[in-house]
Amino acid sequence: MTHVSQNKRGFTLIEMLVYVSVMLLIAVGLITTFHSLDTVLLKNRDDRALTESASVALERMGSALRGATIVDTGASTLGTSPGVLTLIAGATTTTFSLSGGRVILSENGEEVGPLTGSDVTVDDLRFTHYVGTATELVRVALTLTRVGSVSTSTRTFYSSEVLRGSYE
Amino acid sequence: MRFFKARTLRGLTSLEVVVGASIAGIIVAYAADAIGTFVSSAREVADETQALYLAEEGLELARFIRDNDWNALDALSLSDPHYFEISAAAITTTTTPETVEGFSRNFTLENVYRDGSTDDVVASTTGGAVEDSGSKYVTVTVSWGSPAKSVALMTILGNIDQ
Repeated sequence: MTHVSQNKRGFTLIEMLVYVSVMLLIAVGLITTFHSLDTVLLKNRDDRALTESASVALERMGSALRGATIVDTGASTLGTSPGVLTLIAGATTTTFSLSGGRVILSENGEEVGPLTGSDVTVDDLRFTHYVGTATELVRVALTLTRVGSVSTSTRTFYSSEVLRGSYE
Repeated sequence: MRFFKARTLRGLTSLEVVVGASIAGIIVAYAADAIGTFVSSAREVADETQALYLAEEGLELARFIRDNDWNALDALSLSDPHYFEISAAAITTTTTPETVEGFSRNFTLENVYRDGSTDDVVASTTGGAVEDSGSKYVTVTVSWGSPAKSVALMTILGNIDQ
């Protein structure tokens, strides 16, 4: 009976301190882990937003450039930002421009819609037109910024295409 | 006997705390390590996308140089790295290494060998292989970061004036 009461005597102060310290260490470790996981997920979202918008815009421009016959230089702003690129392929005129921080696609003068997401801002859109002895090439430089809740990411993407319609 | 049993029980409890804390510690350490891997892999995917666009652009730049003057490509040494020089007015090749947004880009050229009768591209060691003087095998390599990572894209460009 005395043994039973000794068993139920509770914890000593030292025991309590040790247990509470261990618990605290574990809790702090777990909280830190979850916090950095959250930060990582938010940063991932920033990187993904940038590459997604850049991919959509560059792929669309690339396909229009490869299909085009000539660059309508009169209706384009080349070499500077914000740039405007107007391409002619048969009866279709395709225009890429910058408005409200987004790349806008227009066909035959009608706005089709934005190519970059509302979650990123296009800081710089530059088209450089090279006229060679046989063909023409357009280089696109696209700088995007994503202001996330934990960080700000900026990346510049480049793409060049030879106008397949410019082969004689 | 009873007294001894009680002591054994108490000893086990302390051991449990130590074991429990160790397990929790190991889990936290692995979780932190996994997060580190997760961070670098996400960044890697974004870097690789950027690098692939540069490599793809490299192939188009080589095509454009070919379109302008086949000899500009044909005259370059084989196997050595060559670089693009992009000015506001022209795209040319240079011996000065090119760096774009922290990515290094170069291209190499190799001869193309074809089967004498079918014109299929074959290895230079294949019997009956004939060197095609009107084609070059172009490899564009983009490398970045530390430890270095790289992507490479290849194509065959031909002399369109021939």
